Amino acid sequence: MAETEHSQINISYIRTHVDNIEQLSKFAISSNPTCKEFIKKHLEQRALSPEVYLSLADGPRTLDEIMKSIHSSKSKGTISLVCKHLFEQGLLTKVPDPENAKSFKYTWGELEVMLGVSKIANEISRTKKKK
Amino acid sequence: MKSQEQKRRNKIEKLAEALRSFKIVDRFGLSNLISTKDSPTIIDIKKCINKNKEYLPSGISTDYLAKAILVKIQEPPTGISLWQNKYKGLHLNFKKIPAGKKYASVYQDHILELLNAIFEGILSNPKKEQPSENTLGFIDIVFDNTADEGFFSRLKKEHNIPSVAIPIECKNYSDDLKNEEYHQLYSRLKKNCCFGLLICRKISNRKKSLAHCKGKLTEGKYMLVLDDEDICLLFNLRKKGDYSGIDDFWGQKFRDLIL
Repeated sequence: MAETEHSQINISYIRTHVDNIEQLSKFAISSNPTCKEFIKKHLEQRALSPEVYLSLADGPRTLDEIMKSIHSSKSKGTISLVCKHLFEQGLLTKVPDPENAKSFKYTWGELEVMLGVSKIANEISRTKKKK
Repeated sequence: MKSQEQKRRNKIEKLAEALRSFKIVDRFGLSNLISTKDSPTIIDIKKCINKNKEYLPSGISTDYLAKAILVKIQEPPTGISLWQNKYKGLHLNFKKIPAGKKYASVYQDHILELLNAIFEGILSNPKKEQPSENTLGFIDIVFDNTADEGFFSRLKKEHNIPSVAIPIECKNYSDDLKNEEYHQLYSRLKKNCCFGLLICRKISNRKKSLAHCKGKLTEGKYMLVLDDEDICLLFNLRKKGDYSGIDDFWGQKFRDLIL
């Protein structure tokens, strides 16, 4: 906790620099075409990944809520593995569940704003349906 | 003893924890809200978030974040959770111990355990059967007064009552205490320890008990008497983390003694 003027100046300095680094990282990710390819690859790698990702369009969901939303015959374990895969690739993030302190919900990560992951997921999903 | 400032800090810490779980920092002025308002509502939190909505993480609505923050800041402070975990096995079943000499030691052990929990972070280094220098006997329980906030700190700093240690005598009697018991604690009080506690099962005549204690005031010796009900009350207040309630309890007892 910032207690003195000196520590507050230090925190302001760190915060400004972290903001700048964040901005530059976002720019680097957004302007790099291979990032989108990387996301596409990971969404295609595991079945139901686009559907699981798109099910979070209305906000954070628990695993059970995702299951209900995608109407899949797959088991909870399979959907859990899909979530884990997306989480490990940085496409999903976990946030606390206000209704249950011991639980968490999955939600979209920062890459959604930078790269529009949902658009890529939609494209993959549509292509699959056409096939 | 934790003050209002400590409570505010706890809430700020909880807020920071909630925001960290969403990988964001407070760009909404929420710490100001928590600092100025004791119990902010979900509407207050939402208003703050909406001022800088652009900093919301993707996929998270104002409503969702506000709910998560409210739940977090209403959680008991980490210190209380730790205390509750540490003393979860401790119960108030000492009230079932029969009064009388036979169970005096059992009662004393239970009181020591409970006081140790009640005074954690306030008084320290509890010792059972501490030899008394003034007399040949032993003091049932002694705590070091290491408090730097709250009633026990004020004893030293504001009331100028020497209280390096707090001697405590436990009396497992079914009847009200007699002059002898008050005198025993009185004899334990000396130059550096002028404040002591007398713990008994029940005080039927509170006026008489207070009169006994007031009688020693002229000699600069301060004694407070607590019974089973007082111990239960203190334990429950501590369990809830109600530090101001604990402070009020001691303040009231002390006022009754000196006024």
